[in-house]
Amino acid sequence: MKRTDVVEPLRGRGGFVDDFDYKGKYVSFVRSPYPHARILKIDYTDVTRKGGHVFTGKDIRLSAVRAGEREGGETSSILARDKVRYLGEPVTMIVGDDPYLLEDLKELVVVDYEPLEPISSIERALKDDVLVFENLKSNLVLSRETSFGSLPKNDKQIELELYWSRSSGNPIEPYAAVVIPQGDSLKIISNQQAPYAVIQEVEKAVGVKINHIPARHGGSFGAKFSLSKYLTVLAYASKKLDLPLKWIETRTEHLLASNSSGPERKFKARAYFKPSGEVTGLDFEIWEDIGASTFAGQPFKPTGILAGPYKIRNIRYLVNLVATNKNPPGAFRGAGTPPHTWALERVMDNIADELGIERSTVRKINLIDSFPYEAPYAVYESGNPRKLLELALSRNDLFSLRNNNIGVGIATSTDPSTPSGSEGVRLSIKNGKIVIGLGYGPEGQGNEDSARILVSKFLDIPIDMVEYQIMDNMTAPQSFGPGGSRMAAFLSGAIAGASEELLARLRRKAFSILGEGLEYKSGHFYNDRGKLSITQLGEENVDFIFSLQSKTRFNAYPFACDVAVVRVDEDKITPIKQVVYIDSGVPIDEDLVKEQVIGGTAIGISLALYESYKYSDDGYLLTTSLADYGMPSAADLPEIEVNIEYTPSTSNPYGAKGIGEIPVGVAAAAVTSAVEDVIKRKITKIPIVPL
Amino acid sequence: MKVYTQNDKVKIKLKVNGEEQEVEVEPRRLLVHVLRDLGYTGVHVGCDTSNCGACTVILNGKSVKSCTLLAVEADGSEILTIEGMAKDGKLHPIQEAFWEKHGLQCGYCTPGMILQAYWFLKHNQNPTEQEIREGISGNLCRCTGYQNIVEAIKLAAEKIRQNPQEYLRLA
Repeated sequence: MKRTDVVEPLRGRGGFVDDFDYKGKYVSFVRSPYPHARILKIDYTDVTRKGGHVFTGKDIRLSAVRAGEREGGETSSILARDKVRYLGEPVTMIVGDDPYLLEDLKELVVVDYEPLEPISSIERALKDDVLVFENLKSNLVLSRETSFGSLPKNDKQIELELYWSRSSGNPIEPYAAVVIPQGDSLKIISNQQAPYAVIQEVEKAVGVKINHIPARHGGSFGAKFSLSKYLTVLAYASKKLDLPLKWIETRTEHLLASNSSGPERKFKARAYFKPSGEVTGLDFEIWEDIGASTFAGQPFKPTGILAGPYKIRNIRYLVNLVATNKNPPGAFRGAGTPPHTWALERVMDNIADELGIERSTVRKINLIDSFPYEAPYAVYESGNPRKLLELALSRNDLFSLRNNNIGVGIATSTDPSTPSGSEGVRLSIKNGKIVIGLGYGPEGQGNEDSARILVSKFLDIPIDMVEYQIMDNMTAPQSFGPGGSRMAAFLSGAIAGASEELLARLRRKAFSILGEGLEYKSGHFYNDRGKLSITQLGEENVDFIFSLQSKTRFNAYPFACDVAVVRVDEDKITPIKQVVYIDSGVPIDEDLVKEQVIGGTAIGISLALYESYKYSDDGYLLTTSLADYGMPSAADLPEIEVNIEYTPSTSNPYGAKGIGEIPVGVAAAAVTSAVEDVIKRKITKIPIVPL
Repeated sequence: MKVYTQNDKVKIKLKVNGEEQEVEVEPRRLLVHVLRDLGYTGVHVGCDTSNCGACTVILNGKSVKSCTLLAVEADGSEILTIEGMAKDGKLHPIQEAFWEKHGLQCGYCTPGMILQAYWFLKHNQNPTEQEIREGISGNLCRCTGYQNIVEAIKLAAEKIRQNPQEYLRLA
């Protein structure tokens, strides 16, 4: 279905943060030129003399607030105090009249640093002779083990050392915020992800009431959860100065210091298996490079898919969080699951090769074949991954392309798409229109059109009767918005509930007019005395909050199977085609499912082949532009074909599953397998280095 | 070559989407910022290193990244931005094609992508898929994996071939 939510951006009237009319001051940050250094002195007298306002880390007084349900870090100040721990870390925040003049003012800030030895790798960090956080006494800031069953003693074993490079969402629109004092409170317009929930944390940190207007996002992919650390200092400064402030991040700042990257992970992956190919145990130890931070959520999200789509019940998963002098991570599409899926698929390929059996065979043997399936760590309520694999294997058109230069790879996966939680909507009838109110800024996935489709289905009315509206945090009953892949399940639940309540209220009104024996169909109540449209029964506002809680943290598991075709020449790997079979649950809109799966697959292919934040041995980020980072263009990506083959989820009234994140890891795994198919050597790192 | 000092203000004239604009600018001010200040906020900024192409406009018939030009360099030029594509409220065939083929998700790269497509189709109305992919390789999109953008440009080419004089006369 054609999306109505994209018409304004098509005309260049997207309503992004920077597009709002604004009169007030601007903000810019002086950032550390060192990856690791002590701050000895900051002299900004010349800035003050020229009328600029300056805040250092020590000027900002915030309450400590733990971040809620998301994989990113805490809600704290972005400004360094005493020490800088990554290149580009903000040292002072300057308020001035115009972004160009701010560049001049920034030149006048003199910071004395005492450079310290930087830690730019997990190996270096674990020596513990230089500490990122002295008070923690070690760069190994946390180790946590999860285990189920007991690992086999007598079975065959393989052990792989694997590495997943650091990458990030890099939405084309960077962070952006406008903060306007309004009496004792603040109004903020921003592209904060999960704004309703996060703004509550910012309010607590700063100690001020905030009215947040969610603007449209130019993409997020998890990155914009981490805007919150900038919002806290902007809010603090705006309140202190009683001035409107605006800040638009530059891309270079985003690459250096957005606190939003995905996982950087080293694995020691051991698997136990029988000569038949049956896998009997998984023992994964991981080391997560969490940059200059003391906690990260991404390494723990795989606890929702420890054995992926396979029936392996003896599992140990040991997470080590390692602090280094890098931009702290946040969340990136999948929030830590893509590397896990990729590593599991590496294990499967290696077991097959070790036993000399087909890579598809080892998957057939181990794939879950009966649902609902109670894994030791989660309940997979519905699915048929073996069917997805069979469909993939039936593609002779792809497998027949194999030759000396062209390889074909397969991979299968699942994803913990929908964390337990809640989402609220407001369903209204206003001026003869049905309006569905949502409490977050649209990010591009088309959830707003999904909401219209769901209202039209649950109320049995034409979709053209339904409009959507974005609500601020004062109006929304409650919201988290997109995060994980939760919106399919949560919007289904919330809109089903709101629709039921709305119809119950309208039925009472219709009863008072038409009396007993009312039937409902196509937006009308009727009986033998007459017929009334739901828009003829006055105004209504129904707030409904859908909550989903289960025994374990995640719900609505989708499944996928990818076939990747790549061409390998002497110095170049070219992805030629990628075919995805996906169990999306009941698709709310097939076009939207395909958009998401194509987009996620493209990112997975790109992570396998191109994208990476590279740091020098002395801690300097070498990839300070999108080109250096390896952001792919249209010429770098192949044709992607998506086939939907669903089983309904039982977690929500529509039967939908979340599919935004599952495409990433499985695509990267299939591409890796396809490259190996040509080079006949083991790949242990991504991005894959050309030969 | 004229040399400006930092405090000079320079008066420049631009013709944007057929509208005459006269504006005083700092000589160091980038064209993209001047266009946005004039209200053409469909011209987006996605990077500061000329990689992303979100700021692409057509300047004197050429596709340019407006973040890589100083506004003073554009003095006297004719510029087409996304706001000039639709006529009397009716979407241009390239916009229609992007809508029909799901060629956008978040919509942030879209204005630049559409203008690049316009310039590309002006020079090649019968493109192959590979030519399209290379033709838009200076414009980055993070949502779509480019596939639906490529499909949209194929469809736009078909639509434009119906009446190229009409659809390609904007710049």
